[in-house]
Amino acid sequence: MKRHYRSVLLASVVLAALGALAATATAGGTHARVNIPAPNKVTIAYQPGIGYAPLIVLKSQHTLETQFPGTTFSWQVLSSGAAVTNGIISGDIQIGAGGVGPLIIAWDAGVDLKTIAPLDWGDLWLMAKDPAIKTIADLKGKKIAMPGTTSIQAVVLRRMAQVKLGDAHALDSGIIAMDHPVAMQALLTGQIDAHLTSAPYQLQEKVRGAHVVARSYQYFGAHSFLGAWETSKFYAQYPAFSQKFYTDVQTAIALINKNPTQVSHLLQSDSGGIPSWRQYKQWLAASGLTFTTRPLGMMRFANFMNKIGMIKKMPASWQDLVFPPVYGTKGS
Amino acid sequence: MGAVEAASGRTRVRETGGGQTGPLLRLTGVALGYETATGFHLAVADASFDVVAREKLVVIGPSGSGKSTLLKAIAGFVVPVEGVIELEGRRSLRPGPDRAVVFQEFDQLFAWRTVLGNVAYPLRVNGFSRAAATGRARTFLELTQLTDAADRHPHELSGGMKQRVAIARALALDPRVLLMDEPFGALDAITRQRLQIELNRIVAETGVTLVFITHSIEEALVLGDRIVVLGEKPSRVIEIVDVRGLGGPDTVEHSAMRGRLRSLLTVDRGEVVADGGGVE
Amino acid sequence: MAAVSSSPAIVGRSRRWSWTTPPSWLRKTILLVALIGVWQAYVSLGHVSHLLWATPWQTARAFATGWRDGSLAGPTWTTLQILLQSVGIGAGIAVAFTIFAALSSVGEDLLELLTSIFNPLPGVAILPLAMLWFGINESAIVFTIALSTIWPIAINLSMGFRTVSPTIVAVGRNIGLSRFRVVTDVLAPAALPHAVTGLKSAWAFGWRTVIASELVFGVAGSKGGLGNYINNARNFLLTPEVFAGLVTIAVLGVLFEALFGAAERRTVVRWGMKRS
Repeated sequence: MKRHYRSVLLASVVLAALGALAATATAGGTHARVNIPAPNKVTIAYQPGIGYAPLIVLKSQHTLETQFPGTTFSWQVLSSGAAVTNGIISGDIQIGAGGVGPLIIAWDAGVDLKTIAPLDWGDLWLMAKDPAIKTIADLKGKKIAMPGTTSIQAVVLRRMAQVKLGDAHALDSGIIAMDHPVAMQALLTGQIDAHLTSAPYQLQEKVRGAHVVARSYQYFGAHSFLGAWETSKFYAQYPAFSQKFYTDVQTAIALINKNPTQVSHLLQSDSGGIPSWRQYKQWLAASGLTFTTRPLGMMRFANFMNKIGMIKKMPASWQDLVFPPVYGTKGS
Repeated sequence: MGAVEAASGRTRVRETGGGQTGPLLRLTGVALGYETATGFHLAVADASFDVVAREKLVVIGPSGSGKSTLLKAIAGFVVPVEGVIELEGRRSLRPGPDRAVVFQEFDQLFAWRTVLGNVAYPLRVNGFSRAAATGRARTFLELTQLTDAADRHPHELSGGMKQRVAIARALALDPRVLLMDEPFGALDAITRQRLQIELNRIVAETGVTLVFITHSIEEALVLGDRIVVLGEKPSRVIEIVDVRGLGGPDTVEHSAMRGRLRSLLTVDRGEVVADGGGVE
Repeated sequence: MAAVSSSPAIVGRSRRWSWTTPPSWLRKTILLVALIGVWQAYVSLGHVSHLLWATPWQTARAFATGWRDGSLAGPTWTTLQILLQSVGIGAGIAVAFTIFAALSSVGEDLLELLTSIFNPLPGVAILPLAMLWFGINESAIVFTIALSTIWPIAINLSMGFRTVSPTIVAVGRNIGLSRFRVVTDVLAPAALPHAVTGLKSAWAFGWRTVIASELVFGVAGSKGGLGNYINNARNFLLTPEVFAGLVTIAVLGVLFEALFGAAERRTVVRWGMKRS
């Protein structure tokens, strides 16, 4: 009997060790607990779209939870940058992610918000289904959906209007605030005429019969798209935590660029199995996103927004919009 | 509605044409009933009487004897289950201004119209021009001594004044028969007496035919030329008495008639129909 | 006790000043000023972030600017237009339906059935469906509001019809009115107090629905309404403008109260028909 016991015990220990090894292997990295002061609760909010992939990687791998076991992390998906900003102001959200547009507007309104970790650059496509809509001029009087009048897409639309129609606000009356998934449905069913959107929706719409009318890179050059933000107050309270967050994002981005297959699997399981990882891999490659923590073109955006009256103040330089960990990236 | 004859007053009703035989209103074997949750109830079993032109006929009976229902049948609101009601030979009567009704309730006036409007509006409904209706309305307000109240709204009037407006409205329509359903029942004793006197004067001046319902013996004696006495439900006409020329309330004949009527109306349980003021 | 019974102050107005001595409008104005004072104190002394609370002064400035340059006036007018249109349509349908119900028992059953189904539905819940049916434009909002205003008016109006004294209906028939004219000339004026209650209720529902729809839906058609103004101000984090929008709604509410009151005084109160 005793001999039997010993083999069972040995087998269990071996199995447990193997299990632990497997767990850390799928976690995909050496994320060990760190000894940095951190808040009790951190709510991280982002929006729909694979531009937020670095955050989704962190979420799926439980990176932060492992590094800061004493902190409760809560992840939320909100429908617009304005909602994220509001959440930060009200104190519900500690780290929020969204486009450059809402960030600059918040900065202008005096919310002490800055980017702690830029996520990517993104080419934003203006999609339409009706073949008659070929140019920006064809959009006059039509309904164009985007996350909101303060989204980065709204800024892009106004730039397109200014260049092609001479008036930045020519298409303003057609802007309808809708989050990306809803707007995609509306575009494909013909309820709206155009959708200025981002990955992966722009690709999905293209596959389903819509065509690209214009792209943001054509009007701003390559430019930053999304970033993770926090308040200066939070940064002052937890500088080391924020710095660690930044490096975690860098690591996640490195993983996306090095091993997109693995990341695609993570994205698939995060979205509940649909779409498939192959689909995600295709989108990561082809939908106009470049993942990096180096901000690009923020001042160009701020300049334009200031000129058309969306903001009143001008940041002195791009560093006004980010926290110290980002300074080293030589952004613009 | 026909024009008013230019007789001795602007308010006299039209005379019946020469050679008109027979009564103005005739009820023959009329039976009236209503449905309730427990089945069909007969209120009036068999009512037969005539009303002659220009007479004042009072119908009296104990409560529940169906006298109101009888009036509603003459007015055309209720159809007899048996028997016939004929007005100048016509049957199957539907509600209409030729049998104008004055109800007991004060809210029979249109609250949103002035006194003048209340009298003039039914005239406009019946084809009068605005000017003619207003003129005729003023005439009848004068008749009922309401000229000063012409521009007031009903809610500003006393109960007695409201009933006078209703009378003016009914008479302005030049009805063949003026039907009145215990119109003074909700008034205090003094007002009631005054209005009874008023009514006699008005009816004399206009020459209208009156059918008046009451449960008060005294009221019947003051107002009526003839009194139809109804019995208990399901009622029949017990007797019709002629009280024309009866002496005043302090005479012996008056008391005798009062006593007679009271005894006719006494029910087995010893309940007596009220006399004097009329309040039970 | 002798002093009390012989005191002349018993007769006529009490000489001691109490809260109810000044007239109502003055009392309420005093209270309002006091509340504004508390508001200002809270923001200034409580070091509240200017993004969360605007001060009364900032709000007043944003309000004045908005009216002067039309940025507040335009959306307000847009919202009012939508509301007037919708309530008008809703009221029209309600009246027609109620008259039909008064004249036929099929109509009455139908009205009761539809009311119990649709009355509890908040308008904003129907809006997404309306947008599917009518497209993303003003018609969807007008439809939603009209739908939510029909039922309060119909309920009150039919209650009015049903509680009309049967005597007065009998009078109507007696003087020779047809059944239809009894409804229009007798039932309708008699039911006016109820109709006014229904209309006030429908107006309130309509207001809430239109603002909520605009907040949720954004640009209504090609012009934005008051709800959109507030939402836009929120997006741009312009808190004084948000407050100015809310103040506008409040002011309009007071104005319409006064309007309804004046209309009531000239009709229902004048006729002694107001139920208090």
